[in-house]
Amino acid sequence: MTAVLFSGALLLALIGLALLPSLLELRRPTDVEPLRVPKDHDNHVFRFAASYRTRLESVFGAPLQRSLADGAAAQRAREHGMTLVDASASSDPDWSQPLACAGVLSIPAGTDVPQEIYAASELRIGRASIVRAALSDGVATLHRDACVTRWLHARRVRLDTGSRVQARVSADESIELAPGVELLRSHAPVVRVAGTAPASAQAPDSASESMPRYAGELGSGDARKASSQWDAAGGRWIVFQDMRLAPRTRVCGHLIVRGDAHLGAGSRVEGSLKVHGRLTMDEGVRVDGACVAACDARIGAASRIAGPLVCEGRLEMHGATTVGDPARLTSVTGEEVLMHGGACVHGTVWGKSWVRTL
Amino acid sequence: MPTTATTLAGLLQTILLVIVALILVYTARHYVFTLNRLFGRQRHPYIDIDTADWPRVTVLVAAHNEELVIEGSLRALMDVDYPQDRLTVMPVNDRSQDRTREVIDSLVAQFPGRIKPFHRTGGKPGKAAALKDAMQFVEGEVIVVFDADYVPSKGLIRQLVAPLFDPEVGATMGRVVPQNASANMLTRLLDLERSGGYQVDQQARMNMRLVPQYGGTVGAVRVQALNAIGGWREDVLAEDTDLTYRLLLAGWQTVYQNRCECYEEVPQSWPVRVRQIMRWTKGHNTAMYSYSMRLLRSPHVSLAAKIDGLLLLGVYAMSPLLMLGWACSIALLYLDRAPLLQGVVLLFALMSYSALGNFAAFFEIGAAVRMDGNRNRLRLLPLNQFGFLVSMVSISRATVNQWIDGLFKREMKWDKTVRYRKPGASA
Repeated sequence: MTAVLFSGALLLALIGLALLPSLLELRRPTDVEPLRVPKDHDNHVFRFAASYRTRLESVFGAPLQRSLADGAAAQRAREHGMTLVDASASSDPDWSQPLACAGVLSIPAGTDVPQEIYAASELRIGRASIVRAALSDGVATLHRDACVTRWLHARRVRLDTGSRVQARVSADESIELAPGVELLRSHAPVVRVAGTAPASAQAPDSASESMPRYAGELGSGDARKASSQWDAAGGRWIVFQDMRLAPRTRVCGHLIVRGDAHLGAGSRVEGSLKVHGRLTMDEGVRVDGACVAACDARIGAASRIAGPLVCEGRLEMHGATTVGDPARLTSVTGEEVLMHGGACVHGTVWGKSWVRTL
Repeated sequence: MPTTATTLAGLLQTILLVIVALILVYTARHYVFTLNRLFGRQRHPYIDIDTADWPRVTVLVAAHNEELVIEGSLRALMDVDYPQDRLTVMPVNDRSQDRTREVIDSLVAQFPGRIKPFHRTGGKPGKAAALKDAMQFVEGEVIVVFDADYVPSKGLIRQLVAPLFDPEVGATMGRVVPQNASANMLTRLLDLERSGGYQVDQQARMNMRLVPQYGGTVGAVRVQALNAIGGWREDVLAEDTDLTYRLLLAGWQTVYQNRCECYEEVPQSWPVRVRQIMRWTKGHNTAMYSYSMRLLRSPHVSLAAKIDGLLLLGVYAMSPLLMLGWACSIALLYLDRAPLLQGVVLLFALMSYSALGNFAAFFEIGAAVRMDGNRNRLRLLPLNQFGFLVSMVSISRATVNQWIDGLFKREMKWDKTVRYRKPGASA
């Protein structure tokens, strides 16, 4: 009897031991808060620049260009641990301090600026300088091999060859990228790589009514197993295998390809395009809607895509490719994004690993 | 000549082996999903679409006696970051008998032209029936569905709508997060369960291009796709599962957006939880009976997605099967006719299952909680065993009830989940 009781007690003790941490956590909770869901999260590229401007305006008043020219601005800057740089002065400010400048701010070559800076007018970041974050109400220029580690926002931005923005860059008007630039996320009404398209590249034909219409794929082997299908309710062609669209052919409706897709030169998709495999577009292809590629994608020169353009692999945009429209900004995203000279995006370009220009 | 007992034992043994095989398949599934989340390539292809020519959206807020929570939800929707001229908020007030109508109408007056209420005074009960009736007033290409207790963050609508630029996507699903996790032991256990379900299960399906599930709320649906499959079905209890499979069979994908998080309330009492599980079971099983064979024959679905889709449909069938397995084991023990289950084989099977099989679901939840950045709540993990037991009994009960309902042609009844938030409390 004793042995049975002892065994029972031992069993209960073992079970209790396993449950002890749970019971302690229930009795004295240490981790009960719901997972934090930030209410104000909006994912905008210029979020940090906007909050920095708000902080500056709370110190100096708005608009910054005028309030910084005020005689009392220097005093307010000192009270908040900032340095107000006199653009006309020849002295070299302490670049390790948070800086604001009422005029043109030039950062000498090779300077390390570890704090956020503001320039009411032009901002010149010298060769091989490293800046943490910068806001400018004029034109911001990153000279050769200069680097911004967090964010950069200006009215217009110019990035010279070899310069890098390791996080986000945005502009109210345009971002001009020289060849050999690397960045991660950029946004402006115009994001353009300097250079031109190959002379052979032809822009898409705007009058496509005369083009032959795509009429489905011919099945191979088992004739009962169709290799493409027109889904009338969804207004889309579904192709169940690899597809090669002949040059200057027009697809009326959306196009979904469950294999690789090769769109011939001058062809047009009058809807959106989705490709499960590798996407290759020859020159002068036009897509009137979005374009989604689940693998790598190569967009031929002088092609036009209304957007968004989404690629889960490496995206290569050749010269004079245009995505979006100044009146209808859009997004281009890819794991890796390569933009050739002359490529232009109206809106956001976002490479999960990097965006590079050639 | 085999005796009756021998024949019975053989039958029970076969049933038991089939059940064990199914359990092993689900165990493997847990492991594959969890390992994929821990070490695999994570897919969030549409999350970076932050700028676009956004489509016109109607947000349907399903409300049945929701006076306590509807105001918070509608106010949050007035503050979302989506072009105002392309966003219409439509509270679907389904036969409420409390102050829901009054609360909605006062907000309509405060935000002229932005909230277009649909006050439903009659018709079939249930969310799907209410949504179906509301569809005639929807203008735009996309609907977003919220429950009245959900409070969206600023960027949520854009993130839910972004995948619909893909012409193959028919619906999107965000992640729901228990807002009342700290209320009691049940809510804390449900918080762990939800974490595993979304952070691991749904995202792994997304990563592996399988069948992420539309969850009925915090989701967007392409109106064209919905019309193409015949709209909402009012005769089902799980309109979310039903919609997922009808879309899939018609060649439309569902996309899961793990970073589209939104708070919800989870049941705070066991009777409410049991009723919720029983409703889900009946709805899910109906989908299983309707779509399993069609899924296998569909030309639109890959083999891997077919397997995942079938396993997802069978999730609620596993509980009664598990109970049947236990019954078979006991019967075989007393019949003393279980040669395959004796000796070393039985010992190894028990050891393997204890070490790996039983552990799979806990491994999944543990991984999810870790990915969410939480730590000490993992101490509650052993208590989930009790939650699973309650679920298993409730699901089995619901399955049997469903068969009886089917026999007597009884109509399935909608059961609303209780709300706990106090009026005016922020989520």
